[in-house]
This record gives sequence, C-alpha cells and structure tokens, in this order.
Amino acid sequence: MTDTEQAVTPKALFAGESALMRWWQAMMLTEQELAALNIRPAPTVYRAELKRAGTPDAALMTQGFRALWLALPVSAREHKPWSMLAWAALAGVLSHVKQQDDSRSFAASLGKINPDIDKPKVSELRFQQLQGARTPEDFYRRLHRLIKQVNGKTHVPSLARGILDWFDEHHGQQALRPDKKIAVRWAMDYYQAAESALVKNKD
Amino acid sequence: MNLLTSHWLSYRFRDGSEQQLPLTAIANPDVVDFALPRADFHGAAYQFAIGLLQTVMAPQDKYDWHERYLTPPDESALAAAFTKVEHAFELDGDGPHFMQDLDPLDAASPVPVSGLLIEAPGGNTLKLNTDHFIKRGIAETLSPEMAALALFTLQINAPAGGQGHRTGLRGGGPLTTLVLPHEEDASLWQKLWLNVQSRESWTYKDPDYHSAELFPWLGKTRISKNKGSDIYAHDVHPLAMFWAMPRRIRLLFEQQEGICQLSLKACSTVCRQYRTSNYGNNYVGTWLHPLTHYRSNPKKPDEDYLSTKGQPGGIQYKQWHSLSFVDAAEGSHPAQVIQDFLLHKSEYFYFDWGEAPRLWAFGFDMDNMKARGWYNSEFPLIRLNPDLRDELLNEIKSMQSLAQEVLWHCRTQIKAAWFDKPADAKGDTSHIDLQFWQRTQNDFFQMVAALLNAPDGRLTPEAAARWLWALSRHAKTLFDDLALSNLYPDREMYKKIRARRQLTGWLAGSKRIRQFSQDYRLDTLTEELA
Repeated sequence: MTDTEQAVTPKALFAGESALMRWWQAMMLTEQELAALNIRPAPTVYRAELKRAGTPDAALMTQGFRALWLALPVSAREHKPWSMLAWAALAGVLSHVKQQDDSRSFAASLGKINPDIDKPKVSELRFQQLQGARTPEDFYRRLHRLIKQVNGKTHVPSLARGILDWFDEHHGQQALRPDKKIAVRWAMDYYQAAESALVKNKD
Repeated sequence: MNLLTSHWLSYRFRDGSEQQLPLTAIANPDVVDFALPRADFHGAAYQFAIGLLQTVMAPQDKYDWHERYLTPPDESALAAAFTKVEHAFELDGDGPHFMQDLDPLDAASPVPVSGLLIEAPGGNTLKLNTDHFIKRGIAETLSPEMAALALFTLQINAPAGGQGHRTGLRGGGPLTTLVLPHEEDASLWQKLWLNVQSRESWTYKDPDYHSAELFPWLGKTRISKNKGSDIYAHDVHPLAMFWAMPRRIRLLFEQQEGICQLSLKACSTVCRQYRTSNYGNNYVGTWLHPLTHYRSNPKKPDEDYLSTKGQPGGIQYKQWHSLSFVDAAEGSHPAQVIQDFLLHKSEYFYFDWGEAPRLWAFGFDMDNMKARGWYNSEFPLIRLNPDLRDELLNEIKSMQSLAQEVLWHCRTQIKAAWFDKPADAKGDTSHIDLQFWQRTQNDFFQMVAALLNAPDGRLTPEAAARWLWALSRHAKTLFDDLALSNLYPDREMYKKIRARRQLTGWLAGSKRIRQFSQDYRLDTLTEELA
C-alpha cells in the first residue's frame, strides 16, 4: 500500500471532484450507463471541441469547459487567480481519457507494467519529461502524449488533482512538506508500479 | 588581584541589570546568574563557585543543606568563610598564584595569551598559517579578570596540548553535568547550592587549606617527565578534584591602560602573554569528579573509569538516561551531584511533570587539540519511583534503542538516496543524527511522562504506539527534507524514490517493528493513531 494517495481515498481528493466526475462521465459513458447513474449525456460537441484544443488557453474557450466551470461549487472556482486556467487544462486533458481504470493513481497507471514487453507503459524518460515540464503549455502537451500511451485509461480523480496541484506549485504555492509535492507523489507512485521492470532492466 | 575579594566576575540581577561584584554576591537573592562573555567561562564560573562552596562550607547533613538552600548565608558570613582560603586565590603578587606554577618558568619564552582559549589556534597553526576556520587574533589583550577565567577554564577542561602538556583531571573536553532548579529565575545561590554535597553523602577528612594536596599551586609541581610521577586519586585530597592543575602556566601582567578584548572593558592592568612549560601534574587512574559522568567496563571492574566527553552530535536525549541514572549493568555512573540529588535532596522537591528540576550538561567537543564545538543542553531531571526503578529504566532504554534503530535506517536510506555507493561514502553525517534527535525530543519526553504515569512501569499500548508513530513520522520527514526536497527529473530520481520505499517498508513491516508491535500489544488498539 502506498502512503501517498491511497490513504485519502475514497474520500474526495479535492473540491469539485464529484461535479467533475459527473461532467466527465456525461461525456464518456454509454447512454445505458448514464441512465443508471441518472446523468444526462453531454452534447458531443463538448468533447470534440476540447479534443481539438491544443493549449490550456484554447480549452478555456470551449463550451465543454464552460459547462464544467458552471457546475463546479464556489469553493473550487474561487480558489485562486489561476484556478480557471487550471480547470480548463484539466478539461482538455480529460477529454482524452476514455476510461477510468483500476490503477491506484494517475502516476501508477503510467508505471504499470505492459506484460507484452515487460516494461512500464510509459518509459522512465517520458515520465521524467513530464516531471520536467516548466510551462502550462508544455505540461499540457506532455500529458496528452502520456494519456495516449496508456490508451486513454487512467485514474481520473488522481489525474485531476495532480493537474490542479501542478498549477498551484507552478504559481509558487509549493507544498511545505516534500512528500506532498506533486513531483514527489508522482515519482513515488510511478516507480512503485514500475519498480519490478526497472530493477530487472538495470541490474 | 584576589579572586575572593576583588570585583572580578559579573552577575545578572533579577531585573536584568549586570554588575561586576565580589564573589560574595552569589549570596544576594536578587542575583540570578553570572554574566560572562563566553559560554565556556559561564560554565567555568559555576564550577569555580561550586568547588569553592564545597571546599569552605560543605553542609554537615541534608538538613543542614536544606536550611542553607532556603536561607543563604549573608554576604559577611560568606566573606568570613572565604578568608580561610584567601591565600590560595591570589592571581599575581609575591606568593603562590591561583592555578599557576610556583616556579616562575623564566626559561620558557612568553606566548600570546589567546593560547589560553581552548578554541584558539595553536603555535604550529599560526606558523603554518592554517587557521582557516578558527581565527587568530581573537584575544590579544585580556583584563586580569578574563585572564583568570581563561586560565581556570583551561585547567579544568584542558585538552591534550602536545608532548607533555597534560590533559585536565577528567581528560580533555569533559562533560559537566549540574542540577538546576526548575525555575529559570531562581537565585544564583540556589543554582549553585544544589550542586554542593553534604559531608554525610560525600565523606572526606577535613581539608588542610594550606596544603598542596588541596590547592596544587601552593606547592611545587610534580614534574611528570619520568615514570612514577603520576598523580592518583589517593595522592591528594578529594576536594582537589575541583582544583586540579595539569598545565604549568604563569600569567604575565603589564601595568598599562588597555581594553580587554573579551569583556570589552577598559582596564589598567593587561595580560598579553604567559609562560608555559610541559610535564605538569599528570592525573591518572580512576577519579570520580563530582560534576562529571563516568563509564566503567562492567566486565573488567579493575580498569580505570573513563569520564564522558563531548562528542559530535551534541548532548541529546539519547544520553539523558545515562547522565541521570546509575546503571551498574552498563557501567554508567552519573555525576556524584546528580546521584546525590536524586538520592538525598529530591525529597525537598516537586517532581510533577513540568516542575522537575533541570539537568544541565555542557562541555567542549574536542578532537585531540582541536575544538570542534561547545555543547550545552538541558533536560528534565526525573526521579524514578524506587520500587519500579529497574523496570522504568529498562523501558526507557528500549524506547531509546528503538529510536537508535529508526535513526540508523533513516540515515542509511538518506545516504542511499545521495550516493551511488553509500557504503563507501565517507564524510560527516552527524548532522542527520542531530536533526533526528532534536526533532524527536519532545515526543521522547512525552513518552517518558506517559511512562511515569503508568502503574506497572510498562508503557501502555497507546503510548508505545504514539512513540513508534512519532519516530516513523520524523524519520520520513527527515528523509524527505534531506533527499526529496530537490527532486529533479533525472536518473537520481529512481534512486531516491527507491530509498524512500526501503525506509517506509522497514518502518511498516520489518521484523523489528513487528516485534515491537507484538511486545507492546499494539494490535489491541482499536483506534488508528496515524
């Protein structure tokens, strides 16, 4: 068991999580699944526009983001000056996530071993490039690429929280404790998932 | 200048003011402490005054002692007691000089007075110009007052000083442990008197105040060049332990206006130089200096007892129980004043948590002749219930050893995160230990408090779990602070994360931790503390 994010689930990871999940499910799930959850399907244009948005700024202009933003509780929206851009980036990235999978966290889904090649789905190098992203645009682009590498399957709330925290840290709101920093949390989860393959290939 | 009658030491009053007064000021109830420019001088002044009180006015028994504790003598009574030894406390003049050789040492060429200061660079360092961190020129001119303190400080702490330059009676850089009242603003008298022992608890024959067996500078130095010239405890009076004089020194005074570089006061006599010679009194064998902790080897009872010295990492709570409690099985002998306090004087004091008297430990950390640092720590001085004493001490020791092991794993993994070959990585990592002890100290004493409240001398599962949890929490944050706070995306990242997982893995599931959980029945806890 990891001591990073597992400990806080199944409680909500962040403000606005349940609104976000309903919004994402409305875009991704089948009609039957949505009916069971009592959620109205989202117009297909939401997802189409978001998928075309190449930057967080572009995602900001979409109808899909607007729908999400208005559905969020005040506590999530009035958080910080950069909150809107962070949520827009989040909307853009999530439009590529097709399926919630059983990984413990977003970073763990990247480090998960692909049994065909006995290597992590995302290589150490690519993972480190994500960790090295210094601008929101770069960060956004790299996330897209990684989502594609895991075939659109990851842990949605963990990814969402990671993106929000990344924006906080990017704007100078560093976590006081190192183990709360997003880079450290991601690294712990990624390497824990990837460890068995990495050890074999390194030694 | 006579050290018993001159205005030579400064004192701090209850209202914060400072004044230079004669030694009798220690009986003034408004005086709360010495006010001296250096920590080692401050510690030396305590030892000077305690030694003097023990020498001239030791109480007969504990009742006598307690009466004096509550009601200090008035200053004239104190002055009268001091007259008995006044002849031995002249710093200069015609007769014997305090803590200086009877021989004028005319053959030795004078050296700068800064050499009396323990951290000052030595002659060779000055010649080779290698004083990079400890600088020359810290004290070229001293007032007689500061020179006297520097001299006494050197004689009681003397580190090895080159061939034939003897160490102090307790070895070089010994730790001193004193009892202090709980209240910070207790009078100086009470702070000193707590460390004076009654003639019942420390028996010795009445001292001859004119004998060199008590004050070695009254007689000729026992030159220790040849074999058989060593001084053993049975060669001198027991009180001489306060007045041992390992170094042969003569201060040189000049009648001249000057500014003392330590006290920054103007003075009409200055000391810039002194003469010194080697092969002074050589104290060997077992001594039990009343203010110092000793260790013996329980397997070899005939071996000499060794005084405890300052060590890298400072004085932390990991030494607290050794400094406080006698432990024959481990050969740990706390300072006589500590033992005496817990055994005889403690009945006069409250030991409620938060009101306990304090154990004050201080001393130099010496690497042969090099001073690495000065340490100064205070801990609660606790009395263990005599019926449960052994159980309690055992319990404290096992909590202590758990901390040691957690620290070991923490340090090992921090090194694994830092270095490619951690086993080969040399260098001082004592700052890791230091931080660990400091961060866990509060939790440690809370654990001890919980232990003292336990009915059977065993920790409750709750208290044991709290201690374990505190240790692992601090180990993890220490690791994170030192190894993860700069996590760059590079090939080191995996190494660091792996080291952290090793650490958390050990803390969560190692044999040692499982055993601890079993021993203290942590499984009976219904509530998750973490």
